[in-house]
Amino acid sequence: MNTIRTSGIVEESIVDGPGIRLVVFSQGCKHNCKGCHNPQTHSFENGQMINIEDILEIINKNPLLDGVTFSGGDPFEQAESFAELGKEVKELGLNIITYTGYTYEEIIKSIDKKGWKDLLYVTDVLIDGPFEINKRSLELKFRGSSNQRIIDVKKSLENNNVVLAKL
Amino acid sequence: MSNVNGPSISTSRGNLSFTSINLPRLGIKHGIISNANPDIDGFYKELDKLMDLVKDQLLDRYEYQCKKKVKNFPFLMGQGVWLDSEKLNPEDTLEEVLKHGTLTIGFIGLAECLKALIGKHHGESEEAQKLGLEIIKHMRGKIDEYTKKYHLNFSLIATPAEGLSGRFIQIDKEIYGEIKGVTDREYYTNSFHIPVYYEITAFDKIRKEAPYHELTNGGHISYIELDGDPTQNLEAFEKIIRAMKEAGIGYGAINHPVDRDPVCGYTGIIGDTCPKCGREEGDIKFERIRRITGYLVGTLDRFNDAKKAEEHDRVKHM
Repeated sequence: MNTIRTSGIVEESIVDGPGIRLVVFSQGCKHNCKGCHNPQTHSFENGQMINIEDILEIINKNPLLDGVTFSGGDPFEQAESFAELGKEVKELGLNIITYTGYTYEEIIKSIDKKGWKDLLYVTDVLIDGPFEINKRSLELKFRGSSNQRIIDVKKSLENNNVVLAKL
Repeated sequence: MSNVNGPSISTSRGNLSFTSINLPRLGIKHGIISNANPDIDGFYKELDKLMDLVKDQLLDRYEYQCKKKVKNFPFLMGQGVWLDSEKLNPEDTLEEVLKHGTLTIGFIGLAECLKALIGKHHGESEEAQKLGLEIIKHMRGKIDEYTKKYHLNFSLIATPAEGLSGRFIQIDKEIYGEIKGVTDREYYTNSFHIPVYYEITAFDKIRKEAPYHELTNGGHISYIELDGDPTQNLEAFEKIIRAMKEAGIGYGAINHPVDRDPVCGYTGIIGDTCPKCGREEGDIKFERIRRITGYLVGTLDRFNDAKKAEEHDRVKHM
């Protein structure tokens, strides 16, 4: 561990969640959604191994950041590493948004998979579900298709049911 | 805007004329491009000489302008728009009015100048930033001396060059050839800006450019380029504005794509298809507003080649 296979890092983004966010794009995804925005992130072999400490260093030197977004690829395929990074990010007082092709319900069902619980618990807002091209809309904020939900993870866990977040 | 001859107000007076200095040329002549080691002393000596020349030219023009009479400017002077013009008669000359105006020295291409001098521009290195600030401080120092000596409002401006950005580099390319990072593009970078093609975070761009604002009392602006629609993320927008204020940016601007579909009226970011009505760009083109030296334009057709090339090279900071 201590490293993450990434397809890239965007140091400041205004389109991956509210405020100014650093985005870590995970390399590797099994969903293979038709019309995917980032098909180059599907392979589990490409990309670049980056140390978690190096990512934290970039985060630390930018006081403008509101939070960090885990995108991809699917961060849940490297859940342990992202959870570890996520814990450190939270220590810095920043919030975390995680994008995943799995649904919230699927994650709960597979919560015993390595790192899944930790990654879910460290996530403030989960944007879940695969991209469905027939539900595609360019007018959705922070999402690609209308089946995807913006979920308040803490409230959802408390309520044992999906609670949507207002962004 | 301060005024050594009257009230320091910004209305009823203005800039009388300005002339810009080609900093990259000085950098090439005295930098590691032409010498084993940068000759910083030689650089400053020639800069001083050039500034004195520009100062004399501005004074010369000022004297000429002062010889004009109130009756030559029936609206600006005759109607008392300009400060103290109401106290004059139609046959009076303009000195008592024009003494409130500013005489301005500008500069272009601090980035290319530093690159030629020491091999790096101020976006790339802290050492270059230190030298860049020294150079501009030096210029401001001389400007303040002129003001004292002539009792006229000399000022230093971060020139928002349009024609000049292409003209100076073309001349220098003919004389010195194509020098990487200095004369190898179609334009010199404006004033103290970090080059538009250089990848830098918004935070670092603000941090690097802000200290030059205080020094350029004749005018300045800093741009941040956004990749996205800030109306969809106002938190981010506000944060950039506040960061600019905190850093000491006197005049800041945020550029972002503004596209409009003239068919359905959607305004936002449009890729190949309109998010609202779903039509693809056919004969009826989407309008794409961009900003060139402060002007918001729907097309680059009317801009010169240098500015077109500059717009093309721009990277997003966020």
